[in-house]
Amino acid sequence: MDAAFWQIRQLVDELVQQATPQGAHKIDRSRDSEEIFKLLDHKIDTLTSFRDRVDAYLQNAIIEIKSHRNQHTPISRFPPEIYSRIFEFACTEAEVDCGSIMLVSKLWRDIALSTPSLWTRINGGSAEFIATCILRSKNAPLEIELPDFDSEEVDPDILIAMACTPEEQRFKEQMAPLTPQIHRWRCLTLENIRPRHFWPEFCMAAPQLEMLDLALASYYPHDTEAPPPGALHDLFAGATPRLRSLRLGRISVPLTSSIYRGLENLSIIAVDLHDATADDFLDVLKACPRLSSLQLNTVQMSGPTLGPQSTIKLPRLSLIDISTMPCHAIRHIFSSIISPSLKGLSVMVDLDDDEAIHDALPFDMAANFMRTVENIRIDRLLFQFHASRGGEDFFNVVGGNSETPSALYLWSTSSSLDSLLRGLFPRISSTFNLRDLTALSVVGLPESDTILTDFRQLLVHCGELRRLTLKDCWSSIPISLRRVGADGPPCPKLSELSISSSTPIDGWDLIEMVRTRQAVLENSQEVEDVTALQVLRITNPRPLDEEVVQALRGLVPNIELKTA
Amino acid sequence: MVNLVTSDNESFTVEKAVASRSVLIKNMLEDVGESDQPIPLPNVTASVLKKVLEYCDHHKNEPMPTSEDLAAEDTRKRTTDIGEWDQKFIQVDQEMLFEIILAANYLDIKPLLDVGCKTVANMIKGKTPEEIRKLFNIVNDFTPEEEAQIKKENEWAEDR
Repeated sequence: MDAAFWQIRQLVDELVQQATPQGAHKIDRSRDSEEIFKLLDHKIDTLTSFRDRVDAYLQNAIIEIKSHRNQHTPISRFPPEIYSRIFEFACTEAEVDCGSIMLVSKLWRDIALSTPSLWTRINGGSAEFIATCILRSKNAPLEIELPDFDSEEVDPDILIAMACTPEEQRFKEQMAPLTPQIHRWRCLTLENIRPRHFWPEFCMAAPQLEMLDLALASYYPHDTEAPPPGALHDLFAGATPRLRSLRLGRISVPLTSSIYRGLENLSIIAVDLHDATADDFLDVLKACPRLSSLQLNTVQMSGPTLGPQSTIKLPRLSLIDISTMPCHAIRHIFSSIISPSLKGLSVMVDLDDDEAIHDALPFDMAANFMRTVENIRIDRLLFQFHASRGGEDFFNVVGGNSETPSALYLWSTSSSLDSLLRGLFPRISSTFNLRDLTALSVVGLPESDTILTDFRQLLVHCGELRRLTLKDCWSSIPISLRRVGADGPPCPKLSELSISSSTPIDGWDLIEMVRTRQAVLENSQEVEDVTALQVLRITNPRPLDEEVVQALRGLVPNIELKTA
Repeated sequence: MVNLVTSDNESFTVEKAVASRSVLIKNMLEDVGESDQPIPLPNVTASVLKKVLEYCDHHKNEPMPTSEDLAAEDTRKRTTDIGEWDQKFIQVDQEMLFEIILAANYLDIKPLLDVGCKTVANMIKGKTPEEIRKLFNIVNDFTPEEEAQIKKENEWAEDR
C-alpha cells in the first residue's frame, strides 16, 4: 500500500512540475498574465479532475469491500424471504416505517424495495411519496389511512363557509395517485374529509375493499354531512363485494347504499339517517347475516312502522353496543334480532318523561330478547345498561365474566332510585344465569327495605360468588347476607366481603351476619358447599366499638377497618 | 417414533407428533410411509435441533396452521407479540437465534420461524440505522449520494 502511495505521489509531483515548469518560486513576468492564468487554471482543473477520479475510484473500492464484508456477517446468512418477513414484522405498527431499514446497508435496502408488502400501508404523506409507495407495492392490496394530523377545533360556522379546508385540498392531491389504484384498496380510513370532496373520488368499483372508516371530528356540523347534492352514484359504484367492516362517524350514507351489505362489523356514530326508519335499519341487518359486532351511538332514525315484525337471525353477533338512542328504537331492534352468540351487551338510553328504567332494559320488551339470551351463561356475557333523562345520568348496571374484576357492577347517582330500581333485581335474576358469577360489585344501593329484599333474592341466585364489594350502600346491607330460617345463607362460598357506607353500620348486624353464616359451616355435611368468610373490609364513618371489633376478629381471620 | 440425524451425525429419537410439527419431516414421513430409516437433516446441527425439538414438543398438541390460516394472516394486521413461553424459549444468544430461524425455515416450521423473525424485528424496532448496524456488525456501504437520496425519500414520508 505504501509503494502504491509513493507511485501516486510521484505522479502528482510530475503534474505539479508541469504546471510550474520554471520552479515554484520563479515567476516569468514577461509572459502575458492572461496566458499564465489560463495555463495554471487548466493545470488546476487537471489536478482536481485527477483527484476526483482517484477519490471516486477509492470510494467505490471501499464501498465494494464494505459490501463484501457485510456478506460475512452472521445475519447475512438469511435468505431474502427471511429478511422480508423480519422487515414486515418490524414495520407492522403504524408508527414504524421502513426509513431506518432502508438506511442500514445496500442489501437491506434492496430487499426492502423488493418486498411489496412493506409499501402497501399508506399513512398520509406527500403525493410524491404515495406515488412511490404505489410503485414499490407492485400489485399488492393497499391499506390507506389519511388522518388529519393537524386537527384543531374549528368553529362550525367557519367550516360551513369554507368550500375546501386545507386538509381537503391535501386530500385531493393525495387522491391523484390513489384513485387510479382504487381496485387495489383493501382498507381506507379518512378523517375530516366532507362527503362533497370524497364522494366524487369514490365513483369506481372497489372489489378488494374490506374496511372503510369515514369520520368527521366532533366539531363538524352534525346534520349537514349527507351525500352532496346531485350525487347520482352510490359509493364505489355500488361494488364493494368484500367490504366487511364499516365505520361512519358524522357521515350519513343512505341505508340503501350497497356498502351496508355483507358486513361483519358495523359502527355508526353521531349520524342523522334522515328519513330512514328503524325498519330500514333492520333491512340492513338482514343483509348482514354474518354480522359479529354492532355499534350505534347517537343515531337519529324515525320510529318503526306499524305492522307485523319479522325476526332476524344473526348467529355470529357477539357484541352489541347501543348508546344515546331513543328507547323505542332500541326496543324495536332488540325485539327483532336473535343472536345466540351474544357475549357483550351495552345499552345507554335516552328516556322520555313517560318511560321508566324497565323500558330501557331489553328483557322487559318481548320474549324475543329472552330467546336471545336464554342460553347465555353469565360467565360468558358482559353487559351494561345505562340510562339518562334530561341529560343527567342516573343509573348504570355493568355485568361481566371472570376476566373482569367486577362481574356484576351496579352503580347509581340518583337520590330517587327507590322507584327506579324496584323490581330490577328480580328481572336481572330471571334473565341472566347468575349461578357461575364469582364477583359482584354494587355501588349506591339506596335506603329501601324493598330493594334490600330484592337484592337478597339476587344474592340467593349467586351460588358461586366468592367476592362481594358494596360501596356507598345503605348501612343495613349486612342484613342481606344473613341466614334466614332453615335455608342456607346467600352466597355460601363468599370468602371476601368489602362494605363501605356513608352512614354508620351497626357492628352487631355484622357480627350476627358472620355468626349465622359460621353456624351453617359448622353444621354442614358437605364442606365443599360452604366457605367461611376469610376477609372482611369495613369502611365506616365512625370507628366500630372495641367490643365489636374484638368479636369480629375472633370470627374472621383477616379484618381491615377504616374510618372514612 | 422418528429417528432424526443431524449434520454433526447425532441421532434424536422423537415422537411422530413432535417431529411432524416440521412440514418438511411430515411430508417425508407421508411419502415414505412407515419406516425405521433415519431421516437425515444435513442443514441442522445437534445443538440447534435440540432447541427446535424443545419448541415442537411444547407445541405438539396445538393445531397445525392451515393454508387458510396463512392466507388470512396476510389480510390481518401482523403483530410482534410473542407468547410467554415462546419469549423465554427464544432468549438465546444472537448466533443461536439466527440458527433457530434458519432451521425453522429449512424444516418448514412456520410458527417457530415467526417467533424468531418477530424477535429480530423487536430488536430492530425503534433503533437508528447506525444502532442496527452495530447490533448486527454491519458497515455502511452506501455512497454519500445514495444515503442522501434515501434520506430525502424518508422526508417525503414524513411530510404530512
